[in-house]
Amino acid sequence: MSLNERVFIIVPLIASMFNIFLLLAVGSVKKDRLVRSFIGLLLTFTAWSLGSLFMRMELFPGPPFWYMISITGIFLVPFFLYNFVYRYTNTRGYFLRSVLFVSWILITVMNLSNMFITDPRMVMDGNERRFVYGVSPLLALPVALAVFTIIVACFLIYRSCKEGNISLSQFTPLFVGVFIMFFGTVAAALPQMVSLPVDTFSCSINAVCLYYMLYKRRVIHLEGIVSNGPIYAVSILCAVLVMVNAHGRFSALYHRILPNYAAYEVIVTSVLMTLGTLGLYQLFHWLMANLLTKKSEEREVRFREFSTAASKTLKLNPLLQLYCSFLQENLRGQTARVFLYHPASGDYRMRGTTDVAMALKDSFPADHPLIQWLSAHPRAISYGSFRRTQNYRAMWAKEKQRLEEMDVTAILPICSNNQLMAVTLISAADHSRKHRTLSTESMNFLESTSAVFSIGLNNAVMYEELKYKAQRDPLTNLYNRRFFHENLEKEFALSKNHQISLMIISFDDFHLYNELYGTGEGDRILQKFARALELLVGSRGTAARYNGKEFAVSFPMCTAAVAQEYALRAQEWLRTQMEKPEGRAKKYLTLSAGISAYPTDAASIDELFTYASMALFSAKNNGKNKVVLYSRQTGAGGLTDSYRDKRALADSCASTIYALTAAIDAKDHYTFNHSNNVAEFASILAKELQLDAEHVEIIRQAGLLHDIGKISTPEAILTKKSRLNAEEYAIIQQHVDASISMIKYLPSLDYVIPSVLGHHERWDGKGYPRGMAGNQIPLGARCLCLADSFDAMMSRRSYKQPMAVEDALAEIRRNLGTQFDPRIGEVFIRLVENGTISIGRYSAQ
Amino acid sequence: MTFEEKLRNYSAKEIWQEYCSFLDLSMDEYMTIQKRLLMEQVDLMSRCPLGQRFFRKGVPATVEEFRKMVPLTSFEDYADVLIPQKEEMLPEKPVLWLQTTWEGGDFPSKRAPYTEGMLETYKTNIIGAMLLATSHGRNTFCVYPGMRVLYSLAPMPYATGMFPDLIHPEINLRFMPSVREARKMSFGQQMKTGYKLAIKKDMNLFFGMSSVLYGATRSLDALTQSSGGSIRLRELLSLRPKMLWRLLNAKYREKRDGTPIRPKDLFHLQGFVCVGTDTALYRDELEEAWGIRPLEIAGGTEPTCMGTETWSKNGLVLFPDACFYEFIPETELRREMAEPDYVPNTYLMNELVAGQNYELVITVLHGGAFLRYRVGDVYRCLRLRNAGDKIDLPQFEYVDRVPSVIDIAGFTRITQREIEKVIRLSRLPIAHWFAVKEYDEQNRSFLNLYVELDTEDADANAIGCQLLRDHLALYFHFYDGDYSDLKRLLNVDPLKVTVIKTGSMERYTARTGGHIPPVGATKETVLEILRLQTSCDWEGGDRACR
Repeated sequence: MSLNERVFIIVPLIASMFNIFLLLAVGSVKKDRLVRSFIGLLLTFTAWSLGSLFMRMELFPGPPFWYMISITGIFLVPFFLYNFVYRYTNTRGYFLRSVLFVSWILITVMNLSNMFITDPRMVMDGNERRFVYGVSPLLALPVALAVFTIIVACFLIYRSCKEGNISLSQFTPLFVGVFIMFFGTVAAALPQMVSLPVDTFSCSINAVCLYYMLYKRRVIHLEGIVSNGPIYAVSILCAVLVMVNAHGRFSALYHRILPNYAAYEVIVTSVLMTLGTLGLYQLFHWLMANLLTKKSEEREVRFREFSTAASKTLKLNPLLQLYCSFLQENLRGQTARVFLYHPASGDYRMRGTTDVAMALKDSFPADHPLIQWLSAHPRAISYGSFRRTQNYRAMWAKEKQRLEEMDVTAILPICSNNQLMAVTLISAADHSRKHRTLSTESMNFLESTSAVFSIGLNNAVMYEELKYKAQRDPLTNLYNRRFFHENLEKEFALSKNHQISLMIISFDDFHLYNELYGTGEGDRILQKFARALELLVGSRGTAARYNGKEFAVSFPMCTAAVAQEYALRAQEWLRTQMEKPEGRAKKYLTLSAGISAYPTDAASIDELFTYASMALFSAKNNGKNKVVLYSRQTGAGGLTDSYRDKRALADSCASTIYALTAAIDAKDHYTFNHSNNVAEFASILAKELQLDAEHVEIIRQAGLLHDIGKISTPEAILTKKSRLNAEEYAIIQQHVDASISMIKYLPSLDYVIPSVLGHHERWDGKGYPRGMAGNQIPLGARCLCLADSFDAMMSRRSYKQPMAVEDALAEIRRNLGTQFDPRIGEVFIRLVENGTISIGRYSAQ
Repeated sequence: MTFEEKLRNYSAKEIWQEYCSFLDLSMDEYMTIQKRLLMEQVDLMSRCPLGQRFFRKGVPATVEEFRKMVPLTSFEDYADVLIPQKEEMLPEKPVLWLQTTWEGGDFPSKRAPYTEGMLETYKTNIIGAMLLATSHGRNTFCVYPGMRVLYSLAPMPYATGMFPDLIHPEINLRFMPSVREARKMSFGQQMKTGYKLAIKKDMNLFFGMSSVLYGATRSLDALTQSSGGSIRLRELLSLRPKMLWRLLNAKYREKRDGTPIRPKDLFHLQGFVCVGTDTALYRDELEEAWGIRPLEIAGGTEPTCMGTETWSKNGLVLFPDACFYEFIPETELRREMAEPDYVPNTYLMNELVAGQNYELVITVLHGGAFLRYRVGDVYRCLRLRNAGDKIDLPQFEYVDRVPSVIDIAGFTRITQREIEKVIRLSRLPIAHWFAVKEYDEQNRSFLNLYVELDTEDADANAIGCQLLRDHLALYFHFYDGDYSDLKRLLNVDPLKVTVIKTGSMERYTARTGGHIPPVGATKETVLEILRLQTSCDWEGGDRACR
């Protein structure tokens, strides 16, 4: 076979392979009228190139048959081109199309009877086979019709472009290909070109143009998943053709190089063929995957994984990270910035990015034209399209400049329940790609991603909202007591090796303020104060509404002096507010604050609270409108007066206390003495523990009143000689709550409540009524517990004999760490042993 | 991306959306753009010495505060900065300066700075107007590269001269004559050459001053024929075949039917854009002559290109991003004229009443220099929305200059100060006068100066009204350069002098108690004065002449 002959086979072969490949690719997708019209066009191209190839190869049933196939393909190209354009431009009206269709059918029939190209045949020219034919003057007829048909197609495109339905650039590759084919066909008839297959060569260029049109311009939206069938078919076909052509030469080469392995020739050939076929399969798979919209199963898998993970993630930051990572994986060469709606300010703040080196500094206000547009049109938009909107006109120059600096290519809104929750800006990371718009496929993919993210975001936002509500006080929007405690524990843990201060602020005579100005005004000042306090404290600490009129503020890593400074500022703020009551009469409201600090005052969180409360009580009892720092030194600082006041208060209430204890005496004589003993022992213990005088006084009074609730206990149970049954024991346990209920009616003595409430609690948490454990039990209560137990053991009761002092102390020692605070218990034992606590009174029993 | 590239790559819908979709805005959306851009301007102004001059009471934080705190301004408030072009005083560095006549000012011309943002907006808006000029409805237009454009507007540094320079980088339009050649020519030469080229090569788009165009339309024969009424063969051969066919065809019909050649016989315009104060008066005749209704655009040196008509060509819509617009109703204007200390109230675009006349007050956006600036133009609000065109915005028509300014054919603007100067220079024995803008039977505007002669002056009796007119016209020529262009370009005699009986004005004031404004008296006032003088048996009758 001569070189020329080979060229005449190889070129049409390549053209045919291209066309068959495209045909199979398009044939495997979802078909509509447009796709069918495109398949028709591809069929004509395939018939043209394949017919030419087989004719040259003189395959069965012979060159005349393949000539007819080829020439029919050539003649039908103009009509199928028109038909494709007709479908693509959605042209209405069938008349012209029908006329053209009938005309081309007639032309084809006439052509089949060799009216235009006469006497086509293969001749031998020396060693070369040539195709020769004659031309009838009638050929002008199909040529004229072809020109007319192509002009009509061009007109349809022009009209559609003018109406704005399509872009001319989409069709450029198609027309370039068709015109190359046209000139190739004309050139083939020239004598100079007769020895070259320019027509089929132009056919292969046309196929490349079509591929480009489908892949880059996305003229037809090809939906489908890469199917292996057509790829296998093409790969095998190619491999067979290669084998048929190359086997002879390969065999000769094999025998020359490896004569000793001639027996294995078949096996080696088979293996190489298989490998070659697999290589071709990979090549075609890659080519076809580029053509199809849903080209990547891998991407789908990733998308499913993202979808599942997003729906399971409830916290905002992990969700954002997930979203950014997903975008990073799937948008190569692009940077995404995620702006989240910030309900408090109403703006959209940058919260995430795919570029870790990028600062999260940008934000969009709610009235930003971009936000307004996305709220009204919740769908992905290219930056170019946004620039064409009127909203773009409303942007400030610096806002436009910022978006330009970001090199934004696409904007992705994330909406839920008709509210714009977030915005994702996709930017070209590489500046040279600035004006490249994302493909439809990418935009669709982004929209799907945003839909998934919006569900996750909605869940996360709801979760955050619930969490926020659970942590906040509804009136003041400050943290609530529960969160404050949780937070303080964390802060305490962090500050364990440093220091932390606690401040409790309470409005003085707030009930009076409410009565004078109404509860509405009371709520208003609480809200205003809360806002001011939050601003005042800032990042230095955490402020919370502790209860009705009380606020608590923790200052990690700060001394009590720092807290005091803030308390004074808060006091000053309130004073200013009261002096400038917005044009109305001056009002009267002051605040007191108590401060304690770790490790100087307290050893635990509970002690911090206890001492801060005590300091606050001290402030209240020292004329109010004061800031008091807790101090241990008895008689020192501001607590001296407080102690005196407490003492005076106790003296003034003595009659009440004695009246109450006398009532118990009437019921149970033992209890009266018991209360006095407990008060005495506990106050001695408190003094020994270096508590301040006021605290000691509180414990003494608590000792007097700790069993006051026994008034409500039936006398029969109190004086029962035998052991109490479970029911009776339960009744007697109620005396603690009964005591509290009674003390509540003595508001001036309410400071004893913590100690009274906890005097039956156990160090191991098995006590009653609250089941508190360890340092949670107020210090006063722990003192009372020891004094109470010791007195109970040492006393004669109707149901028991008094214990010896050694036995009582041994019992206490045995229960250290279970019932009693071990540290205080040791002190108590020492006090008894060294006689500080006198036990002479028990000898009279 | 240039406009030409957009035409190639984008669909008509997308291009329409970019340039003309402001017509789809709701009133609220329109006001949002206005208010937002105003606050940008306030922000820019607050940082420059010129702005601080107007923000003495503090920087306004809202539109309402802006309207309360910033006074209404006129060019006098800016003259010390803008005439010497003190760029450091401005909110943004200007890219270029434009100028125009300062009627009644201390200097012959006013200057206005144009920033980059203003020029960008100007360009977008003028392309929008160009699309609308060739449009028959939404999303349809016919603009393409290579269009032949006859541009007969005043060259740079006048505002109208900016279009060719701005549009040139965006799309290849073939201006006749080319922009470079036009720069070397006078305005008159430019027009003449342009028309000749248009007749030779055809034209697709026409931009012109309506008064100039009107004059040209009426004397088209002069352009289509050489002297003697016959066409020279050499000239015929220089025409493009298409134009030759049209010309011969028109000539044939002229002879056959005895009707003159109309521009529409020669030109099939795709777009026809008119600028000028008297467009409304000429447009029907222009449409009849050119076969296409002219589209009017509104603008000026200070306000930039601020409005355009739509495809229906029945009312201006103001661009939302050129200026912030406020409107002074006519009643407020009258009150201000009667009480010079009175500060008139302004209203916003969404507070207008259909059918009312308003003086326009603008704040130029995108770093412009003018805040609450009284341009001196009066517009009528035709309607608040146009249901037919589905436009939800008010549409306007240009009425005239404010009563204190007499504008003749868009060329010259005459104020009380100028007339006083001319009278003083002429040393004519004129005791009292007032001036009114009137129209002749061909709808051409002219200045009618009503004068009372000083009867005590010995020369008074010897002066005829023709002498008065000639004398005054001479001084107007001397004093106002634009005035002389009227005669030269339009063949218009813009001055008429009417001598009224001495004491008529006094009598009018005594009888009605009304004040006669020196410029811009109402038609009723003029009629009443004339009636008063004719009711007395005064010798001489009507001594008006032109």
